[in-house]
Amino acid sequence: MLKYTIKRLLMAIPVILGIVTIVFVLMRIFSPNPAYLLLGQRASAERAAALTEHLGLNEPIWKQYVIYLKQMLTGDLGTSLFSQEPVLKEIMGRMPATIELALFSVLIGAVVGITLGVICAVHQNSWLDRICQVGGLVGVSMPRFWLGFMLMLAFAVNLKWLPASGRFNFLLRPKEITGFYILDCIITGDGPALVSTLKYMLLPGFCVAIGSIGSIMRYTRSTMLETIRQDYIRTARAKGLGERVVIIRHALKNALIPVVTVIGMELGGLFSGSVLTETVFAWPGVGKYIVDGINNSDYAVVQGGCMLVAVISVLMNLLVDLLYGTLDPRIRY
Amino acid sequence: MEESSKQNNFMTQEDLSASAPSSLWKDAWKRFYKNKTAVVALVVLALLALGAVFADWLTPYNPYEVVLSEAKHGPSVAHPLGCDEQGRDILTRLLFGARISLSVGFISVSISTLLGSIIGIFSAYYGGWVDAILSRIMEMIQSFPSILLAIIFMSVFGRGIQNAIIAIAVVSIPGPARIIRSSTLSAKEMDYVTSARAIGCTNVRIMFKHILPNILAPIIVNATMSVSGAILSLASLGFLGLGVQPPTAEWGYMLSDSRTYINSAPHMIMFPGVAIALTVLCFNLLGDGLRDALDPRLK
Repeated sequence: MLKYTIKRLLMAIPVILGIVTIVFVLMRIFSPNPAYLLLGQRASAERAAALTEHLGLNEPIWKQYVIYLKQMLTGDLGTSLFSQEPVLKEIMGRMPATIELALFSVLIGAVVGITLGVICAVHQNSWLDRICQVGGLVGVSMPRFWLGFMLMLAFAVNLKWLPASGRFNFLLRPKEITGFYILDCIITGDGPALVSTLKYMLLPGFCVAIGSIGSIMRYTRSTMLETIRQDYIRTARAKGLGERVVIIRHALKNALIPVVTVIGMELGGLFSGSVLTETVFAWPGVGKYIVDGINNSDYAVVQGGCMLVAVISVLMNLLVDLLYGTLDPRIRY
Repeated sequence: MEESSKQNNFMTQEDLSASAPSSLWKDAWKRFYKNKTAVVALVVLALLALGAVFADWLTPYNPYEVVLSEAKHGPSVAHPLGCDEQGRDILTRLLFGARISLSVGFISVSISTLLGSIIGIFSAYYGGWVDAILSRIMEMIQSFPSILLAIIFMSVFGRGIQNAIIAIAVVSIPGPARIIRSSTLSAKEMDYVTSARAIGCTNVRIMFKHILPNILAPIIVNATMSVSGAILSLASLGFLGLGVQPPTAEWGYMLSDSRTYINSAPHMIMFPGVAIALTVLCFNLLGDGLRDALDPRLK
């Protein structure tokens, strides 16, 4: 296991290097004038010269690449044009919001998706199964940002049950300790703030989750269908175990292992998809930060944000791979 | 006619003797035709394509003409889907938007499928260091979440239809490349490849004249599915303000443009999304139908 973990960690290095390299090729080689791209067209000649010096733009390409890699390794993602703060610091400040939303929606997606998947598999070809199949396909086809607006229209504008956008109520703002508001509310024991925070999280959480529900459901259904036909399930039934015990304890437990991979992939996808959903719900996370960067023509932000989120998605997949090995004792590397 | 009424798919002696050389595609069409959902999807897409092509004649309105007196009007007889904040007919704009979405979808998928096929087939046929290098490059692109890569691409090259097509095409090359690579790997071990080599065919001829026609089915299925992905990507880029230049009628841009009016005129934000979802759904259903028809093993 340790050997596999180390091997897998080493394999992630070229992938991350690849991501960093693609950004380098696009931003430095294809861009006609990187200094002005990062500083804006109206930047003064001195500032452009200073940045040119800092990035080593007058050096040969390979040397630029070395300088660039060194800066990335030390976490120097550049300075935001808009706020004049280091990009990495700003991203780290917004990361808890994005992680909190991603975890929350993946939790909804996993619980609802697995439940529906099991029900569909047990009652294969029933009307419920058909509805879920069609619903899953429709869910995958809808643009998530549009779905977000529709949810907002229904539950915030028309029914007025939930707040339309943002992350907290100014009157019930949780005290910031970790940046994860739910955790902060629990630490401080602030009940009203916890309820309010959860309310703000429901719409964006569900909007993101609906896509995941579709894929997790379909995957659970197909692995469950496969598992139900195994010999050990027949044995369990023959022993006289109750149907519920057979399905949940014997079938689901084994069927879930491959589902973990899908959940992990969804989690990685949620980070990149945050660009869209956070914009819809004005959620103050990394995705919204990147889009604000686009609107302000703040390319250091766009570049740094996209790159960091891409690296996180890769690491997420790595984590799932490792988890997969621990969960399934049959997998020996 | 009698043949189509047969319930089973097994070939009888008559079928075998009657089958013409083109029977693979004929069979596929027969299987496809039986799948009613896929046929409906194809009809809807055909109507949408016709609507997009003949948009100029189908509607009395101009998609760019501002009529402030009708701004934000809801659906009515004169404007079935209502008007936007500048009084432009939404149905007209959706039809013109279909032109952009469909053509960006088709062109970018053609580019990515063509390049992906060439890369995949070379990679699998030659193996060794060619395969190693090409596969690593594909892995690099694939590990980059496509929407983020497209964002960086558009922010470097600026918005516009051409750049959007290139960005969407580039990020989707690894998909077909991977599929073609694995199909070629199994196809190149076939006897017909060995015999083609024995009669002295060149490598290029073997790759494109012998192997390629035999692995067309997964390519076509993948391409159909990719169109829906491309349309969604274009809409997402448009929504983020990185797609086509405004005021071009494009679905994602229309959606993002009308979000400020979600309280006062919700129909403005509703219909572009329905158009996107319907088109994407139809391409997915069509792809499912084609997969079942062309290659039942893939099911």
